[in-house]
Amino acid sequence: MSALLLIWTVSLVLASAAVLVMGTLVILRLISSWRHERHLAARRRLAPLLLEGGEIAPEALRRIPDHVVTDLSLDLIQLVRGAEREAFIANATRLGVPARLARRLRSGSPRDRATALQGIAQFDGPDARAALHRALDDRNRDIRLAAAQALAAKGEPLDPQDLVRRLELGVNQSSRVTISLFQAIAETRPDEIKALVLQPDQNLDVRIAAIEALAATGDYSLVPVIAELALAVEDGSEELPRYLHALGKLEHPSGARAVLAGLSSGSMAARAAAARAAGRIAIPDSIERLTQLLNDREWWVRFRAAEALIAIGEPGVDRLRYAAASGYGPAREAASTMLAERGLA
Amino acid sequence: MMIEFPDWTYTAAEIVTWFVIATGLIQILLYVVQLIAAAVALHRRPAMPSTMVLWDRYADLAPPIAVIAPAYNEELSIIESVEALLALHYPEFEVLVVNDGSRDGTLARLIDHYQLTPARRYYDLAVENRPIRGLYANPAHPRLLVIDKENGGKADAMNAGINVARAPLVCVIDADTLLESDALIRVVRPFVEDPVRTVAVGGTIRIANGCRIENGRVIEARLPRNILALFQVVEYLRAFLMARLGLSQMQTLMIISGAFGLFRRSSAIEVGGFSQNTVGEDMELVVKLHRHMRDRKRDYRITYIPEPVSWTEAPESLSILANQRARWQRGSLETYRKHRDMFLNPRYGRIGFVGFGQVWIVDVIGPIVEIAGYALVPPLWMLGLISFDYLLAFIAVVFTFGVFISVATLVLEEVQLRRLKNARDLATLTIAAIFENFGYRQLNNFWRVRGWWQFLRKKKGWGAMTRKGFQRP
Repeated sequence: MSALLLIWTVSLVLASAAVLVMGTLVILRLISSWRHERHLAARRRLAPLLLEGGEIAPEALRRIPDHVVTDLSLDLIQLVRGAEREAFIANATRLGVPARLARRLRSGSPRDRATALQGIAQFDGPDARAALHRALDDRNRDIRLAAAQALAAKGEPLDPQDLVRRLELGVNQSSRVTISLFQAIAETRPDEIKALVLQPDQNLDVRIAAIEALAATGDYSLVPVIAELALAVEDGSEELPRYLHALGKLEHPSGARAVLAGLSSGSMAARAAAARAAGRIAIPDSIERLTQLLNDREWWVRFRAAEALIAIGEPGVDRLRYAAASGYGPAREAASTMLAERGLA
Repeated sequence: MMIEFPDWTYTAAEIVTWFVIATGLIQILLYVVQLIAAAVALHRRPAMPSTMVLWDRYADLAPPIAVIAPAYNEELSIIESVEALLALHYPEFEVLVVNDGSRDGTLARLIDHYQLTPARRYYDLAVENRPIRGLYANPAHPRLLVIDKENGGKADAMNAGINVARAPLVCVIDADTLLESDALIRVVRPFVEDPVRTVAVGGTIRIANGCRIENGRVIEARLPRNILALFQVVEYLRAFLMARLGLSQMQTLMIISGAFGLFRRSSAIEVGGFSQNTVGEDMELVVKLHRHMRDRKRDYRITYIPEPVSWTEAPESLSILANQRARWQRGSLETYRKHRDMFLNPRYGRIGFVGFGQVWIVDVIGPIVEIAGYALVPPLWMLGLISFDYLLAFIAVVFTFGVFISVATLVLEEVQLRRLKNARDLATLTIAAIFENFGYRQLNNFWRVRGWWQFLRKKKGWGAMTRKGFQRP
């Protein structure tokens, strides 16, 4: 066969195969629509029974597929809060929903496993917890992370060092989800997250995520540590703004020295973060430098400096008013516009 | 009676026909690679959690977003559009409506409806835009800020929005884009999961013609009845599900549509925002981002994810569709011309080879070679200069392989996403996917060649884009 004829033949075969597959999919869709209708009918029969909240007789569940029971139970659990939710969870447990979800967690499809995990995370029994612990060893990283989050939210004692290794935290990418995971663990075991920060050979992304998580919990004992790190790190490094951001979030005056140093950093991101932190901590000693920063070449720094002067209170606002009236160039514009924006003009 | 031609004419005819066929085959090969990459991406994509689960997971982590909605003479629909935007489900966002010097009552309608008063905000002039005449706000609607500026076009309006925005992420949309209420919380995922590397994310755009729409929301997805709009449904599926997802998987995504894209504000500013001297400003911004990041040897991600959905109105008349396609073609060519030094340049790695290779084959020479094929191959065969096998191979390249690619994309949609409502819609789209290759495809290529001509004549501007308006209840 010539190359030209081969092109024609291959195209015909591929086009016919695609149309054939599509035809099959249309038929399958017809069948699945029919089944979907049946499942909807089963769901309609089941919903009032579940909403009543009492024990459901086994014969009432006959001809209702297991997955309909599972899916509807989960929908109802996610729909409400408080005592009603607890009642739905108890009912679903009686109906064997957690066990079914635990089985789904062994599915070959990562998407099915992830959906099952979202469901099982709603339950708090020993079986559910055991299934979540097993999911920490899932071959899919996202599922491992979701399982850790669910366990942390339940206050389950997790070893952060072990999690870092099992979830490959900080490897290839730094997810903000890590911060929320550490935050959840820090609520009950802050010392273990703090240990990650203090471990010098720990991955930098992991350490910074731990710092951000602890900053959100308001643990002041960490302020001197972060301040030390901020003072020790090279100017212009990527982590400096994040340290300064954490100090600002903690709003503790013992972070002032590092923040004041940050105001003179060569990095725009660090100067902006330091200015913001100075405002949040309300450091009176920063007013002079913040006033100078109203003339910074970077808009973002000027904005944060003006914002900080307002946050510091009367002496800061006075400086802004002075800059608005007697300043020049960018400082004057930053001061007058920010005062007007905040209704202080 | 057969005409006798000199020998060299036979050879020349065969060479010309082989060139046409080979170009078509390379295009198809690219599409097949994209299809495979898209299938891998869909298979590997994480589970699609419900909005409620997403909210629980991201509420404290999702960075603030500024939604920039440019408006030019949108008096009739502006309130409905803004209401829909303000009702989006996202933890922290603001809506920046940019009135781009409308000549109708767009601004007055906004001021009147939301009781807006002049406001002051300290903003950056980081990227170029025409002067801002004023800002309007109302503390009772803290998420809304209206920017009134001199007319400068869509790119200029977007730049004004980027300047005024304070959120780290900016979401750009078209005036007529309808965002699904959870579109923001879905599109932000790469910025949460890979915050350091991600610089831009694109979502899916679907065609709203025929859908039931209420208060700026698609209530029921239906297929359009208009045949042109139906063909465009197939085209959009192919463009997003196959091309963008496939290219994104290969880290060579070259465009994020201006109708729905999320960008890191600082990165957009670093490259100067949207360029104003092109009609393909959305593609050009993405190419600029690639260039900027690669020049600085930064590890970065520009991603497309299929779940976040927005809806747009597709043209239903030939003349408007022709204008749109010619404009898109011009946009691609302008971007190619501006950045042609990246093509096959090892410094730009896969962007130079795969990304620009695809632009060169599909957008630069593709339409011209295909139209030349229609004009040359059948006459050459009728004159006896090429054999019937050549004609068959040409038909394979422009028709049967086309059917394969379109239907295979539909297979991917049904197997992985199942977004079509029922078997009837599936069957209708399958028929459309087959028949679009006979007539519509050729017409489209003709319009694209017209775009080429306009590009050569340095035509500027967008041309008419009259909208029929979404079907109201």
